[in-house]
Amino acid sequence: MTREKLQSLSEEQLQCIAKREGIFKHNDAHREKLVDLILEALEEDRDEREFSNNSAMRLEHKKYDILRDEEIDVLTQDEFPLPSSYSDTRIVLLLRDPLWVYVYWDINKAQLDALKEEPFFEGLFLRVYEFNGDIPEKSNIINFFDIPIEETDCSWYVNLNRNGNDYFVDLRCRVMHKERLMASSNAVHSPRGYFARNQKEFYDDPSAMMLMLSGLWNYEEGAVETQEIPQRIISILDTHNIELETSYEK
Amino acid sequence: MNAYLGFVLHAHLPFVRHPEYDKFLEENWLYEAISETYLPFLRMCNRLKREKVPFHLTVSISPTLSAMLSDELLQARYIGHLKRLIELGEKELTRTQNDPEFHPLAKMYKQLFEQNLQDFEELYHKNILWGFKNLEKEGYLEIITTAATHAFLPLYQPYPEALEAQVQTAVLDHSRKFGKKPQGFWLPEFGYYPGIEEVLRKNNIEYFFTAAHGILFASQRTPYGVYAPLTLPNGVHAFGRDYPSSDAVWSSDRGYPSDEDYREFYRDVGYDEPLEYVRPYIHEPDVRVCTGYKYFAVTGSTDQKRPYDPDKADAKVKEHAENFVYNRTRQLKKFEGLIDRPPFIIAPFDAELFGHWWFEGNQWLEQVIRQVADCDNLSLLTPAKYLKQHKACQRGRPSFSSWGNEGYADVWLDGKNDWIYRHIHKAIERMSELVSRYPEVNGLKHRTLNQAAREVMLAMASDWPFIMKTGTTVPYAERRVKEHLYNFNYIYDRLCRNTVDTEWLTSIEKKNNLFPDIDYKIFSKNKTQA
Repeated sequence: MTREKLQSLSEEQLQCIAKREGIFKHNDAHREKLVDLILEALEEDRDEREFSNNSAMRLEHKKYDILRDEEIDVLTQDEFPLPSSYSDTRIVLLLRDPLWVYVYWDINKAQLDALKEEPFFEGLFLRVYEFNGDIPEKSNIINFFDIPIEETDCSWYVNLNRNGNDYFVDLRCRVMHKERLMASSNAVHSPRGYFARNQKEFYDDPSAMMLMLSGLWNYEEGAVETQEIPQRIISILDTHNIELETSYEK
Repeated sequence: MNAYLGFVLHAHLPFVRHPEYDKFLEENWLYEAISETYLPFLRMCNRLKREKVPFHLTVSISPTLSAMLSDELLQARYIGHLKRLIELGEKELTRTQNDPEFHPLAKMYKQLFEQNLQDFEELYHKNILWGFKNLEKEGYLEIITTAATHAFLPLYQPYPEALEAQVQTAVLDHSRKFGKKPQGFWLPEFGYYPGIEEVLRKNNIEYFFTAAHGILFASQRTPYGVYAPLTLPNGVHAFGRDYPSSDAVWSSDRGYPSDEDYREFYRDVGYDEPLEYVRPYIHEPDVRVCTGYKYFAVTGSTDQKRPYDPDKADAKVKEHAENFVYNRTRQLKKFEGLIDRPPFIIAPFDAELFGHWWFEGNQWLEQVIRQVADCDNLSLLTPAKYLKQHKACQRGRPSFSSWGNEGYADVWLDGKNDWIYRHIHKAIERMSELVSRYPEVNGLKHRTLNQAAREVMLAMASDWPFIMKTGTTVPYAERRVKEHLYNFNYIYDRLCRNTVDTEWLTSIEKKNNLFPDIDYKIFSKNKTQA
């Protein structure tokens, strides 16, 4: 956003942008001061976006980069409203990375109202199942844990126990100490996200050198299971100097 | 040891077409890409061809981009856009006539736009897809496709009918536009999950590309790493990205484009000159945009930029091309004794990087191609040609992966964009329900259902959640997702009431007019189960 653009906006529009950018103590501020604060906040946003991306994403972003005046929607009216609910009970599970899933759900309003009317309704919860095998059935379940949810919740990011296994989630309620199944999600498979369980296994592998040339050149980062965040290979590669590439020696 | 180098350029833009406005800001994405990337790329290829320099490149052209490139309205608007920039060039020549540094640059840009106009109108008769098609016919390019609206496929895994719709529509559309079926498939954002290969194989796709860690963390050991394809159990091949060759270009601090002698992307007459002067060439109402007339060099991390010197930049292009080829030959020395076949170094890029953000990108690519042609142990190759020459050597199934930040789905599934999926997934479910309810219809109902399928697919584009997470035009991205879902839901409601608003339908068909041959039945659940 350019100074020129901000200066051309109405007071109401400026206030709206300021609020959106988290600038609240500006009532007495001069218009110029407010513009300064907004510019500063937008600059911070840009930097954050830039640094939170790897090279591939930064470059991809460039092709949409046609203006410096961020398009800021100050309209309050939603031109294309979307339904707040679809009146059915369902739960869907999406894999974000080897250790995190995103789960969202809908509950049929009539069903929820009826449930709440029951005298001993205790609440809703998610049950996250970890299983091993192609089909999510009782005999394959290794582990599960529960997450209590509020009636107003509709999505959750769930940290998985471990990577390399399969997961699905039930939407359940508890009435009079008894559980009831409301909906079951699809299953997802979390990838292993590492190459070897330890350094020895890595170096003993006859293909270790080829794998290092292919990107796993630092076994401690992304190659072995013991690494703290094994899935972050791309970022790790982005932040390291690669001897081969920085050399201009002929 | 010999090695192959496989450049893969992915040309893609989301479908942006707004006949309801005379000028629309985001349509500039297309115009800038045509002017700065696609036309210069075609000129480069034709120059190499004329000079008999051997080259083989893989180019992925997305169905949404090819729909826009062959659209008459956008073609006419692009000509208008070029004419306005040529007019600005005239004014710039006058304004800079006493400036020995800027005047030659103004002349250079004006000539570039004039050349673009001439090529666009006279050489390609407004449809530059012909240029790509001819180069493919002559064996220089291997053109592949990607998902119909560039959906990030792992987030649609629970909806096989939507995956089938994305792949099948893309393959049919590609065959219609390029006269042959695509052999390869660019998974949008390299988003792979185990199982998507079944949809690809069903549509006769032979290979796709993945991120390096997709191959390295595959179901089985990969003794050739990313330097030979991984053959999946169903026979489809996965080629892994070589990190060092991409990083040479991609890295924002070490990459070639950040060199101080190259042209600075952000300084533009559209921002630097008074509003009164640039008003006819920017967006209404007084929204400053880039015009393409950029007179400064990267210089370094300072606001005091030096004037751009094309000769200096040209010298750097040659140096960087030499460095790139030299580093590849050094790289392949490291493979000696490790593998028994020539390594295949896959270097995939967004095509729009070359020429748009990195102004000298196409020149660099041309220099690399020329130098590789003179190299004894390095040659350019495409995946299809590689597969004809070499048998499968490593088998397994890649791991869930993408080339996005953190390597998985974090960019497209984030607090800023996750709200879209519940609505898009529901639209997919409802679309499949409509297919079951209306297995055979014709006339107006058929048109309505086809438009419903278009709207669902347009909402699925990966570009919208990407921009919500990273971009400057977030409200536009949000509006687009909402608009397509609104259109779909409107159709769904109307069909439930058994009434169709013909006038409204016609206007939406005219606006979102891609995939003219679409058949809504691609969303059939039965088909994907069979």
